[in-house]
Amino acid sequence: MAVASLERDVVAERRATTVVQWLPRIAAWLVIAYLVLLMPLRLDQFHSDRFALGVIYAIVALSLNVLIGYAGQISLGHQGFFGVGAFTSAFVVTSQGQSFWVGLIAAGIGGAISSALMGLVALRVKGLYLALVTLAYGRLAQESLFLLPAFGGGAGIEAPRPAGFVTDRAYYYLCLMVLVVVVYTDWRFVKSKAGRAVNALRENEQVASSYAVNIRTYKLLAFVIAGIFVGLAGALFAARGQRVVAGDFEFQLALLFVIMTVVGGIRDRVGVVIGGVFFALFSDYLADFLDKDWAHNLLPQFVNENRDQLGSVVGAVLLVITLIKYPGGIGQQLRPVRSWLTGGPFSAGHSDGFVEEGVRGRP
Amino acid sequence: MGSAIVLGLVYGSAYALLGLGIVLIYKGSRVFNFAQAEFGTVAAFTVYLARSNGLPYPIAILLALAAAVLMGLGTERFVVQPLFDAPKVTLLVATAGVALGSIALQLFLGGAKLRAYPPAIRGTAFRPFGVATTWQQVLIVLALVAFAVALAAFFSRTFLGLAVLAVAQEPTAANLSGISVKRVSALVWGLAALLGGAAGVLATALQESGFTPGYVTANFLIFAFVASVIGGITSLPGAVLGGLVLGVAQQVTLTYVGEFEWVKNNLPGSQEIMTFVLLLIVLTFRPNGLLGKEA
Repeated sequence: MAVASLERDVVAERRATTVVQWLPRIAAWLVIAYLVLLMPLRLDQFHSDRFALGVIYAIVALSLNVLIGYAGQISLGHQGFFGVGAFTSAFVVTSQGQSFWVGLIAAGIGGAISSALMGLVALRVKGLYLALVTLAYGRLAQESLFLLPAFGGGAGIEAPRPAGFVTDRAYYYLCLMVLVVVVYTDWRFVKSKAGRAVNALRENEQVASSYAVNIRTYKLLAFVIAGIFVGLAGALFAARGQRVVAGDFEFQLALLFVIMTVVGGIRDRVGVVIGGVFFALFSDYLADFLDKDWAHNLLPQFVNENRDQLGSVVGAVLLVITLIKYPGGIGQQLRPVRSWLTGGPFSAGHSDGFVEEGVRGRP
Repeated sequence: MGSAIVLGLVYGSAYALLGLGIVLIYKGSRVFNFAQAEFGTVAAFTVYLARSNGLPYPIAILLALAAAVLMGLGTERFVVQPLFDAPKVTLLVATAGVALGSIALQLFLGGAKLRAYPPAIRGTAFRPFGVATTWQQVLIVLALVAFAVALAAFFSRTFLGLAVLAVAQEPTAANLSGISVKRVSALVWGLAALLGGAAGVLATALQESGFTPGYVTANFLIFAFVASVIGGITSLPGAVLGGLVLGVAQQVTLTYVGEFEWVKNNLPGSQEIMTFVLLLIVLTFRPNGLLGKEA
């Protein structure tokens, strides 16, 4: 106890107080703000389109974080819920003639309903078995649900963008706004009674239950919230491509979603957002980089032929290294940076409430 | 009905071969190995490369199985062992990463084009129920029988097999009685990769049109998982039974439900719906699978 308070004093002393100490930190914040808010204005359309995908993946990662991180339920069929959001919004907008915004809300509801149905299964089936049910569900969605005649029967359906957000650049900002809403909701949810209840039932259902946590209600609630997030992301994804087809939601995508969430850092909001953005952008930027003349001349021919794929290969290696060296993912790697940015010292030691360990899944 | 059962047994054998590997690794490491089907795709690629370089078929198959086993041992050494104490989700994600990395590597080195190699033995073997059954189809069923018998003998007749079972049940106690847990883990992954490789080599040649990078993962992995859970994820006989049951159930559904005019027009993917429903039914009424015991 005494040691702890002593340490806190030391940290308090080391916190930045003077203007000189804050200046570099403010400069760093400005750089971040520039990267997020203004850089897409300077990019060509193709790259702001990729940025939009990064934001969409970040929302998906936040959704998976609710399930895997808070509630401890592994979903390997998240591309299914993602697709439900995409097809629902496209159906509402194109076939029913509603506006994009109605489609967005419908996608959130559609995602929530399909996810809640999986939640009902999760009340009975636990751990890796549930992961397997979600896996089979994803396959079912891809091969059956998304090929229904109402969804264009394999040819897909149009998903127009809303007026005012038609260009790729404007659309990026729309996605960013949704991300802000989702991050805020996630933050408030964790701080609420419900958030604490969901975290408690992950650790131990029996103990949580004996503290009067209603397991059924809160487990379903976690599924509903994750479903709303991923449904919204699906709607944004649909209008980003302006057309949805079943082929966009293959099983590999579900693996990528789980990978980016875990690499981002389970239960670390900033980490999973960065993880989502990273996995959406890394591959293309690496390919661009290799496209530069000097790199082109330096590398052997076969690398240049299939350079689009190099990102995925490198990504897989990075993934394994991250998992072994940093079980807390990108969030853990960035902890000193975040501590510094908020005025603390450049160290991982005293984080304000970030959880140290990864997921304690039990089979 | 006859043709559905024959085809079902053929595809079921592919699921069962992969499922045996999944069950072995689950017993050994308590993880769902998402790289299992990639052992098969890598083996298929090796056969293709060896055949296009003019090597005879038996040597091509040996090389393919060696490549698969090498990949299995590598995965165990460089991915699974360092994560020995990690949470299960982390380990699951790591094997998924191995699978995606392997697919990406195939695309990177060879592009996305369709490749094909001929079946090991050409021609029609016989015609049960008037269904022309090719030698390749017979071969995959025979391979399943051979591997199942070999595994049964291995686990019931050899000390090494007993050691694997001991480690699966109680790693600490097994370690204390002089069994190297690390070596057993390597053995399990090697064996599983061998099974995956065999499944890949045989199943890929079933399709005349050929295969693309990640073919076995995309077409067989999920069903192999479902099959091993239906049979009981800790039971090797269960994996065989689950694979055959799922294979036959899928083909019967395709023939008798999928062919209705209304279903054809309004409800695609009857095979996937049946798989999902079967999985839910088994998990509801027999949560440990058909032959599984308390995990």
